[in-house]
Amino acid sequence: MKLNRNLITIAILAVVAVTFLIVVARPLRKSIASERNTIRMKQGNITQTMQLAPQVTQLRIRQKAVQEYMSVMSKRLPKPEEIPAILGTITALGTECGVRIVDFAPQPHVDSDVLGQDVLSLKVSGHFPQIHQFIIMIERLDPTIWVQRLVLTRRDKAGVSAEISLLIFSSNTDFSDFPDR
Amino acid sequence: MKNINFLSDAFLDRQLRRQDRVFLASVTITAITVITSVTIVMCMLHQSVSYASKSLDGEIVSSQQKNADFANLQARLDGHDEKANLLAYLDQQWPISRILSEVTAPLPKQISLIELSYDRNVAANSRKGKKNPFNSVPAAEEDAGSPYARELKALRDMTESIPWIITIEGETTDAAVLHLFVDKLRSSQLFASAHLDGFRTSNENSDTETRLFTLHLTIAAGHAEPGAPQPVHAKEVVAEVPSET
Repeated sequence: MKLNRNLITIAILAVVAVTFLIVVARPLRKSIASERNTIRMKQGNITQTMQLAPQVTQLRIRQKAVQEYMSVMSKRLPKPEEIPAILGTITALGTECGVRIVDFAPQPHVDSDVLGQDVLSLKVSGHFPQIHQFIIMIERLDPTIWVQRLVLTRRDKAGVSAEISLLIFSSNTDFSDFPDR
Repeated sequence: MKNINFLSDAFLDRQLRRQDRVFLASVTITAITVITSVTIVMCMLHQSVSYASKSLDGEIVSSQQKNADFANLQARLDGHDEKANLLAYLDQQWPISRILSEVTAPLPKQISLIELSYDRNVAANSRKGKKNPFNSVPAAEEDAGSPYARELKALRDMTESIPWIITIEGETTDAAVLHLFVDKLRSSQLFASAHLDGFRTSNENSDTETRLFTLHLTIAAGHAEPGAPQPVHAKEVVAEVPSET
């Protein structure tokens, strides 16, 4: 009888202990392990982000360099409405260099996605150094101008005639647009 | 010697029961104490871990923000790289004035030029359907790029699809001097090749025999074009890489 009573008590305690293990201890252990994993993951993310700091600095430096380059270079692409002024400048350059502009034929403006293009066909005459100087001056202008066709023909001992086709690029968009955040 | 127990059975029985009760009570108390302690410790541990995890939430939000900013900055820079590439390409064509200087500066007096011509019709309205033979990207993939990339691609298709050849017609009184002149042009970095198209006698009745010639000069690839020379600093970097052997 005594033995039975002791056994029953110990059995009850054992059941309580097992129930405690199943209901309380095990879920708590799992929960703690899960929280620890979450902490490890968060710490990993934070560490990774901290490692990005030098790259972000590099990107900022690159951003500044690109910004400066764009602001300088975007001046080389005028707006389409500035083209007549550029044509005027080219005429003035011809006079300055001493070439005679025989034919001056701007072609219709053509738009592509981001660039505008204007072709100017010129026929000029003069001495070779004058025509050469004229081309140098055109290429030194701020707007981007490609000499896409050139025919230089000797007329007499010193005279040269030239057919020049200029491709003037303009911008349909703001190339220097670089919003800061 | 015989061990005689003078205590009564009833006393012994009560004493045994008392001992049992004490034993059971101490076992129960110990068990409850252990279970309660373990529960308290585990709860405290759980609470502290949860607190530590929550305390990282602020940093996580800030780090996610930084990551997003980084990705955003990277994407914007990539977009502006395309703009910059287009601007750089527009600016890096060989200036024709330099090419003219290269041809006419070393011109000997025995040679005179009659005509110099080239035609690179690269304007947008003339370049429909032309394709860059150096580019193997499928058309559908090309259309997916930004407008700047498409514009650059279209320009490259036009300028790089056909070689830039300058044709010079001239006359010379001395064939040897002409050959030296062509050789000098050939050694220039501006020209990929210089090809003389033979001679034709122009004036047989004159005292000095004048010969007409046609010369084709192929302009070398400019910067950022296929076959362009590598920048000097890039070669230096390669030279500095130590050998592993």
